[in-house]
Amino acid sequence: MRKHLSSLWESVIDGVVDINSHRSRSFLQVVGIILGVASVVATFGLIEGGKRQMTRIYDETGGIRKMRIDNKQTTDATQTATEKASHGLTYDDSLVLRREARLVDIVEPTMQREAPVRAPGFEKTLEVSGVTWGYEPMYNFHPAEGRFITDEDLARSAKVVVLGSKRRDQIFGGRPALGQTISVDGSSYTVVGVMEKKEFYFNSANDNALGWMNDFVFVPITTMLNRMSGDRRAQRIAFINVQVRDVKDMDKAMEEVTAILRRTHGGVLDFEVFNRADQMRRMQEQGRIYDVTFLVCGTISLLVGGIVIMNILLASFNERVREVGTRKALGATGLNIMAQFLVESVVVTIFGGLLGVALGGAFTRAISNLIQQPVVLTPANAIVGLTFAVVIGIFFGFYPAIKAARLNPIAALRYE
Amino acid sequence: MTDSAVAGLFMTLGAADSRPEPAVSDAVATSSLIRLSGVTKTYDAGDLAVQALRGIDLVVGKGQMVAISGPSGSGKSTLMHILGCLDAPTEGSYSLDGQDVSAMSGFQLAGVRNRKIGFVFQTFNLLPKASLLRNVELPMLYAGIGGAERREGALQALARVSLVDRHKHRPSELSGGQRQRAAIARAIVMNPSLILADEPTGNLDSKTGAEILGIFHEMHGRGETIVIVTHDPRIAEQCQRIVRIVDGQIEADERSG
Repeated sequence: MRKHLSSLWESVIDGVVDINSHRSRSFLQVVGIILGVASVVATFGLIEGGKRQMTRIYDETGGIRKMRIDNKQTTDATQTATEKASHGLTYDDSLVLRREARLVDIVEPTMQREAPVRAPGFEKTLEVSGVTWGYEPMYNFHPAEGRFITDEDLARSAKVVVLGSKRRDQIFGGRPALGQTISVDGSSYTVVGVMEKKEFYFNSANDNALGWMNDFVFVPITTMLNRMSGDRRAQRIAFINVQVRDVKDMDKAMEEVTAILRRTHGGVLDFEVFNRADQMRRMQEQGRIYDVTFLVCGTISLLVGGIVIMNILLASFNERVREVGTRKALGATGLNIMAQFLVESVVVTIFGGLLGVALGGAFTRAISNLIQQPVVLTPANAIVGLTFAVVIGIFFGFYPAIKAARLNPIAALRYE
Repeated sequence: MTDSAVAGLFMTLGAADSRPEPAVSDAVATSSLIRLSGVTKTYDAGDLAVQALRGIDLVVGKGQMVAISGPSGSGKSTLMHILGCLDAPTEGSYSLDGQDVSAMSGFQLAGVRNRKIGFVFQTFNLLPKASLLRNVELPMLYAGIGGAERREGALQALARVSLVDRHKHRPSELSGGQRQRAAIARAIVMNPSLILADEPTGNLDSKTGAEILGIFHEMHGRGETIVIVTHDPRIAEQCQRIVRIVDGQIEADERSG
């Protein structure tokens, strides 16, 4: 048995020697595979890069454990008395949720109102957000100076304000902001914190995708409710963000939240719950179409590479018939001949595959520079590309190999 | 499976060379290498069945140098293919070195060709892109012999045909006579029982042809069994024994010396 294995191994070496001695033939085969693997690797890189961008911006704005509850407008024509009685999401809803919802970590109500903001040398009507301390962990958004809104602020309806980095620059310029007083909605508020600057660029040509987060003017939501002007209708808050303890429980948490709110709203469904995980899944499903398209393109180019290999093997087949006859006369078995031929195509594809991975890496870098978007080359991509190449090599090498192995030695020796 | 068990398996398949020779009652057979009895070969060419060999009985003793001659189409090539285990007889039996090879599988025959037969072709059939060393190593490679031993064996065989200093050259860098000598080195490298040469001087001028025949004579002198297939009477005459084939039958079997 050892003898047979070692003679098989020698056939493998023979195949390699053969490749080396027919460089132009091998070169053409390699080129086909290089291009195929390179395109597979590059498309994988593009897909991967896109996915990472998407995941990152999700992470930057609260991750996939976030669930958002919005007001839903019911049309006037169909409004019933109870519907009219219910006035959308309120701060109390968020308190009930925080008390009762068991699958939920953080409940963060957000209220928004336009108000004039004044400081020495600055006067502008800005959107002011009333939030709780929960906004910070919810959005993973932290103060760079000072502090964020605290429970105590909420309890006292304190007249404090936390500024986004851009707002701070607009209002104070180079001067210190912490501890200063500004006027919001005609009242004096103390600046207790300035948020970190949030940045995210899909590509360098785009604007900061998280720029809106730097525009915040935060006040405690209770302060907005109790001290700032507004009619009863305006007691309605903008939305409630909820963070689920565990993504696995997302569906159950949604049911729980919906049930509680339905009760507090007297059965009226004037709110909507959006599930971030679902949203992301949907986006991924849409993305899958591109994945498949890219993959099909890459596979087709690899198939073309495989056909090139088979073509060249078959085209050069006739000039090797006598060689096969000679080898058989000298004692080569069909298995030896098959191994020799298969090795040629497999080695060519591995070699081409390795070069293809390198070229694909260069491609991804070039594409990345061109579209100013990160394109990721992972080891997994490279391995998948290589595996594809070898499978193609074996598949398309098989027919010529079997054909050679089955040659009748007499006919092969006589072949002119 | 242990190695010995595997070896045993291959022995029962008849592919192992260590198999003891069966006792043969025929006194001649003990020293005979080739025994053909009643061998026929029929080719099916559509409706037409062509009978290339019509009952060949032939015994070649060990150490003989035999010429098989005949005009083209006589069946001598078919006979050579059967002797070389490249083809199986339609009827009759062929025993080589005590082994019945007429019923062997293709896999087993490859083993027999590898170990028992050394081929010398009219057109040399060296691998053009490989060095002489690599060419001569080829049969040992298929026998699964390791690298160092292979190299040594190949160099020894090349030394026997005075080509050892050319072992790094490719066939294209050599003369026709040198190429055929390299092919002879390849044929003898496995120490086969039978050297089978098919028109070995057919592509050479008469002087080089004589040189090649000289090598065969020398090998014969050392006790090798050589069968030369040729249509050239001048070559045949130099052999100890001439078997003439006409129309698929042995017409004459002449011995000289």
